Amino acid sequence: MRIGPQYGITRRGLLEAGLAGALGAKAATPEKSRVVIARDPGLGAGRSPDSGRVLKLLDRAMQSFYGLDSPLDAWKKLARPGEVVGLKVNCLSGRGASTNPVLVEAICERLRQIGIPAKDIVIWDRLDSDLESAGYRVSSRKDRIRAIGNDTAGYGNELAVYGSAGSLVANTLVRTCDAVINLPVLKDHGIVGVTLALKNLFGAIHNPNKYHINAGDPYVADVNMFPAIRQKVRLTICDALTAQYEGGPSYMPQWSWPYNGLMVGRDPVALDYTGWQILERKRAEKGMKPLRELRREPLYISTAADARHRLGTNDPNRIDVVEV
Amino acid sequence: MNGFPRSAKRSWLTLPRLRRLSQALFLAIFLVLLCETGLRGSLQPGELAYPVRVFLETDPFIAIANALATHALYRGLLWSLAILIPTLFLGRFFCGWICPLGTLNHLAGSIRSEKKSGRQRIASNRYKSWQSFKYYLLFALLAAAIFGSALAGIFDPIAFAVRSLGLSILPAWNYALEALLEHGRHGAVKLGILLSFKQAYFRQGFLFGVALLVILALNLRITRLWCRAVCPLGALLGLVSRWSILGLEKHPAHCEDCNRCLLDCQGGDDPIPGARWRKAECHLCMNCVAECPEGGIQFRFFPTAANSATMEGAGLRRRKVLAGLGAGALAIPLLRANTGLAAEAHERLIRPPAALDERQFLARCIRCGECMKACPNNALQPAFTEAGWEGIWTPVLAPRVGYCEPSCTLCGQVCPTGAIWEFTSKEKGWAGAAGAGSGPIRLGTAFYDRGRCLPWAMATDCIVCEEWCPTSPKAIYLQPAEVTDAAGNTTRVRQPHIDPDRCVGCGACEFACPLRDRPAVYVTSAGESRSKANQFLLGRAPQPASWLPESSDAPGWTKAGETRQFEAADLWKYVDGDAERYLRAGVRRTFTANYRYGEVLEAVADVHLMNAPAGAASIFESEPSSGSRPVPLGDAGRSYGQSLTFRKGPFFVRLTAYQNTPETERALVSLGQAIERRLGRG
Repeated sequence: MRIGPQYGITRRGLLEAGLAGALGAKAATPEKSRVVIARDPGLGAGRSPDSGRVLKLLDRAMQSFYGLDSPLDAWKKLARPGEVVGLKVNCLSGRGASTNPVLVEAICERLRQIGIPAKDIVIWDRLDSDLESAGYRVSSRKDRIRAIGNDTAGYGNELAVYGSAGSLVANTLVRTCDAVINLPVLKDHGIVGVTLALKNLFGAIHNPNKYHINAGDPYVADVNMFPAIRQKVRLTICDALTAQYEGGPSYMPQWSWPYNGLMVGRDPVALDYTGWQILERKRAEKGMKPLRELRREPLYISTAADARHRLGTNDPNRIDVVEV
Repeated sequence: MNGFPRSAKRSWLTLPRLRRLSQALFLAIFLVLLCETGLRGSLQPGELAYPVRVFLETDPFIAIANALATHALYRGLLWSLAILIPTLFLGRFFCGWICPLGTLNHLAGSIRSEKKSGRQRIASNRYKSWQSFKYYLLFALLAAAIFGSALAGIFDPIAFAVRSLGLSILPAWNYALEALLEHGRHGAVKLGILLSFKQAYFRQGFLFGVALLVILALNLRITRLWCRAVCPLGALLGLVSRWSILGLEKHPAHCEDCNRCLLDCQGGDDPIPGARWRKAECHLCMNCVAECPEGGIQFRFFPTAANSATMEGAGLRRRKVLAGLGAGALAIPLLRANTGLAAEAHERLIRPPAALDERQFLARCIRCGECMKACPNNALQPAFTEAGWEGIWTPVLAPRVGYCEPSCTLCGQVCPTGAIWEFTSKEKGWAGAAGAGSGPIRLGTAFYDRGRCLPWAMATDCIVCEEWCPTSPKAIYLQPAEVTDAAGNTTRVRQPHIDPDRCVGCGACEFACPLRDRPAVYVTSAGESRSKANQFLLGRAPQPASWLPESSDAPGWTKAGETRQFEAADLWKYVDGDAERYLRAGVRRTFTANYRYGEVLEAVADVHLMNAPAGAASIFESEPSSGSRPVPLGDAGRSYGQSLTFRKGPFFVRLTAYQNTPETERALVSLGQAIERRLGRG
């Protein structure tokens, strides 16, 4: 581009235009992170909720999140035929506090209805034994929906490094899947405070045990900066059918309650912040101390939102919580 | 029709050519599978890309000997029917068309030799009475099998070929090729299948190689001498061929006594008209038919009665059969009356992981060498006298050569007879205790020679063995100690010790010990898990099953699945995130099992063994008691309705139900009581 009166562009004009653009950008309202909470009080959660009601609840959440009338249209926004979709469940705590297979079945049903064949759906977590104990049938056959632990699928050979974290990332995430839906459970965590969208991705690395020190800060945020995780995780659907406010991540029925809900969001930080507040409210209701007083406030959530990570927002004013 | 007139124009595809094609094909398959018997990128079960043991599995002699010795037939050996049944109808087609050792002998026998020309050649291919030796050997080996010994494998042709080629010729070939490439300054070039990823060395390898070369060289004097006189598999197939419907029809009227039918006869079965054809000796090589210029001999199904009358079977004599059986029957007591099995077992008789108890092992191991060939660390070696004379060439771990790779299961994958059962790395239990159930498979235990160990004897730090120890937590631990060096100075070193609870006898420490000649740490078979007798500690490792009750001990409860065990360092694999709490409290091990009560109630029981009662108390007290009520279990117990915790001495127990029913709390208390009783015994 040439600048000069003969070209119709003056230096003054150019500066004025640039300044106006910058000011305009600053003045524009930033888009809020949307977190949809869909609940069905009559669901009767437990480990065997009614599958039809769970499907309807899921549809409600997805339609609301994408602002569409048809559930299938909403799912089409997420993945398309030809892609291999991974479902990162959380199965560490056996059947009591793991991603409910009924919810996963509902997701698989919708994925298949939008044209993703069973062979292109992979349910995965750290260990085969974890998947089995949570009620999933481990299978690596490629003619059906696969359920496979990282211990069988293995980890990539290249070390992913960001900040203080350095790990091998699961082959299922790195090689097999084109897209991943993150399916954490709304629950307390004895060290890092809460375990939701961000923490669930510890199940994608080979050495999660190393990153629990200092309440997981900044490790949880750093692990979520690994390119494979950033690029492939497209949505979080948090299983809040049964939530747990104390004693996690192991299943403690005495500190669990039927929340009968699902939380959907694309911004993992916003979803984690929202889920954390739900657990804090329940703790207060039960007369328990807030996590900050127990020195396990999930500071990694704010770290994930800082300028270095920019994984999302933990500013309540920038989170649009929609309850449906 | 009289005689067998030859057609004027002969087809290119003659039976001998077909046979050669078959021999080449099966020899090639055999060699490729042998080369593929080893590490090919993965150590996990089912990861061997090819059925490398198929030749051994289809060997009827191995199958029958195995069945006689063990009173059962190992699953894969059923494939031997694929050879045995056709032999009933066709005769010894396997010897002439398939057997890889037979093919090698055939090739060697085809080499021109001064000792085998003209009349000598014809005379050497006439039937000889010494050919019946193989039948007596067969009976002796079968008798030995009845007495529980798999000596059969020493003479079985497939096992012989695998052993000689796999443990001698291929390593020698690899060595020569590597040397040539190095010499030609092309050391970096790797020729894939031609070179192993690692040069292997085998004890007695020279002997195996020479044995094969001698047998092949004997063909220069007498064609297929091994097959005619020694091979017990050939003898077995010869006996079975008695009922064969395929026979040689001769027409003496067409015979001009040229003897060409004897020129290339492989079996020495007298195809010549005028002599009795030895059906049990014939390899169906078809050379006689092809050579006869007059078409005077031909193979036919259901030969005429006149021709049948000129056929002879194995020609066994009762006295010699009984002598063969007697020799085999006598050999086993003679061998076993020596030390080595029942008494004074050799300390270095360290068997591969998942090997059966020694008696059962000797009944199954055919000394084929597949496990040794497959071992990625070259750790398995043929025994000489470690297992007594009877156990010669059976596999033993030689830690100075290599150690047992923690996650490797290849020896179990390739064993054709179940002497080493097909185990998983999880069952092996070295790569992590998860799912180990009854504990890891132990090959033996390591011991220190403190007179040679650098930190113990020479005031010099050395932690090589500790670094190499692959168990988690490590079985070798270091204790700081003040020692006086040669100059009289007091210095601090870390001295290694063995924790026998954790040592699995893999041999990594011995392999890595910097004292190359006689190591300062060495493994012996003491404590091997395959033997009930070879144990030296009463309670070597806690048995989780003893703390978590079986179904009958807890009224109404049924145990669902195996007990899983996690060491402290691996606890994160079970409760990642929660493990730190237990680690801070000093957890040593955690045991867990699932239970079912009636139709609807399911629960999981966790027993945490802490270093001290204070650890169990700290976990117990750290959990909020709101909403709970005390229960009379252990030193203190709480019930939360759907879950229950209690502590007893160094144990912290948690029972968690998945369903909240009116019966849940009472049932959990009942399960807790059953566990508490068992902790009392522990």
